[in-house]
Amino acid sequence: MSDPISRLDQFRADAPGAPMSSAAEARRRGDQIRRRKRTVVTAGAAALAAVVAGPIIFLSTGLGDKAIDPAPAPSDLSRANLPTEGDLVADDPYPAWVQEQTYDGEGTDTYNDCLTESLSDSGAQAAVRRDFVAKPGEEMADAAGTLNAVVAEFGSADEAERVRSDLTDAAASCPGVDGAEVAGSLPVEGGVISGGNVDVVTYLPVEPEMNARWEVATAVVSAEDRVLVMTRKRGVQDYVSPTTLQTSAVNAAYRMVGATPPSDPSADPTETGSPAADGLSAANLIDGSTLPALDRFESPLGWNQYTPASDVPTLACQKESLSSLGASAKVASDYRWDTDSAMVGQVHMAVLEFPDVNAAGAAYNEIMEWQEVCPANKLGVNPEVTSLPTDVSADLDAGPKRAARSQATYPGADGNDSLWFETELVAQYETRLVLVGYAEIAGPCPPSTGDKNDPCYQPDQPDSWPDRILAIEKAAVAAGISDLR
Amino acid sequence: MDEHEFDALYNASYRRLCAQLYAMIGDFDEAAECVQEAFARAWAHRRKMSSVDYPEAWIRTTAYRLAVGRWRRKKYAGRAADRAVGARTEMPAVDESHVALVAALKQLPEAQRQAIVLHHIADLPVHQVATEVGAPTGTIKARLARGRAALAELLAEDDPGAVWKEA
Repeated sequence: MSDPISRLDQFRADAPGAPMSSAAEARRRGDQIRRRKRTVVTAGAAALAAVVAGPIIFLSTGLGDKAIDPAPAPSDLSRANLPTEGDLVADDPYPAWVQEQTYDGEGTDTYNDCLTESLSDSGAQAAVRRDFVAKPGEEMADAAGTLNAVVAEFGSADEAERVRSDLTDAAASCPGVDGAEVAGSLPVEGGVISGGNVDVVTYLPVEPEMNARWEVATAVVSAEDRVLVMTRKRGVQDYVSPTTLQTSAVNAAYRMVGATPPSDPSADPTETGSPAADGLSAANLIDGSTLPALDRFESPLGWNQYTPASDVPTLACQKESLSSLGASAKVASDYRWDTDSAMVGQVHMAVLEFPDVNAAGAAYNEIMEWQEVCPANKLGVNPEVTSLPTDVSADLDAGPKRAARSQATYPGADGNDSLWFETELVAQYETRLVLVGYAEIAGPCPPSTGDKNDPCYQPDQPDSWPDRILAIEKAAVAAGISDLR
Repeated sequence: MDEHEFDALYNASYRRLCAQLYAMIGDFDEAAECVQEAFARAWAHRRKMSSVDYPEAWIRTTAYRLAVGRWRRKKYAGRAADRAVGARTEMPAVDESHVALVAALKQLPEAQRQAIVLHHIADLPVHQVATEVGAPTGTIKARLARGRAALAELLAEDDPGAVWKEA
């Protein structure tokens, strides 16, 4: 019988699967995965000594038997999910925002003139609120108005997204106020955020002595199953684009889901990518014209240097900003490969200079730990390690003392089956580290390697991926240590 | 997704998913391990799973990615395949005709094999296959037709007297 359909039907009917393992075993292992991610985040210096063995130790010491269920309960929302003073960007020339009051629940007074329905009315299971004022006593404090943030949790991410959409419409049309006029709008996006907007309306004050209009700027943002409503109200003469509120809302969104907000670039001079001290310069960075083409995709511009958003890390698995490694100087550059419709390739490179070899070595170990366990969520996408770090110093033939390459995947932004396949490299030469994060979009299979035994072999694709990875890494390492050799 | 819902999903779909993954990758033991690991990851992300429309499809895709990743890791990195899975289970022998079918499937291009497994073995309608692999339905239909024809030829090599034509 060679009828393939009959054979396939028979196969389906027989379901030749493995003997049933237990669901409890899968749950235990799932709890272990969650704990490992959490444990690594707080492991600190001890993790350095367990660069490779660490995760194996976590798995084999029986921690799972006594751990509590790590799943957040539906009502695990707390005041810790509200933005703090440090998360808010001051509006020049007004002073910084300081906390005035924090509530469990939405509070009894109105926090947004435009919204006619409370979050509880919309189905929120829990809510918390924090009010801010401009620092009292400072110049212009009285004119800065007020700012408040309400965070609410819903039954599901879909429900949160629906509420966000409804509230955004209300913030833009402002049914709660007669004669409100739309002044402007900005998106709030990136990182953990599912969707968001800042909408600004103005209206004439009831108070006849007031010689300005009221301005209500409302940021409504959803992330996971939560919604943030952040409202700034003040008297204005002219419209100013609410970019400060936009940044504050992004930070608040991270806080809302229990993540660390993106670093403020101004607080981290080594994150800027501008030429730094200690001998590092643009000469230590890859020359975009030498990068090999991403030949699976047509691109009108080829590799194009750009400045990514502040929360885009060099390596997707990066746990913290590179400044946490204690480098004395850093230079960085970023390139992207775009088709007519989307970004399909990314090269992120950073060169770090350390005070001595030991400091560089410790940082190398820390980065290897990131590659091994991938504790990061800077992109809001939970990357998965698909290939553990391996020693590739010999492949690079550029003389680094050591070099480790790993691979990870994370979902593309299209919401379909696309994946970023990122190759991450750290190389050490004396007091210097070179980091390269190189990602190509594909999915569900990785880009072709040309190996016909690969379950994902795709004969219609060029097989240039492995060579491209190596060429980019070699170019980056050669440039990164060019002045030391 | 709570414990009860997870266990119900597991008990209903574990064997089915193992069979589907086996058909996709051609390795019985590996399929079982990857499905088990995919379920573990589903439990680890159970909060997110509550908003997933088709948890079984999520687990199948995750298991497939794990299988491909493990294959590559073994091939290129020369390291232990995975530190993640639990104790190894003794696998039963697989029916000979199924072994031949899987061997034939393995010779198809990956896209055709995936379409055939999802449509004929996972029993998904064409539009759901299209959604799961991120391709238009017309493309899926073409892959199915070509895949079935190629599969018929490959199976005929085992059984030279038999002839099959696409309807």
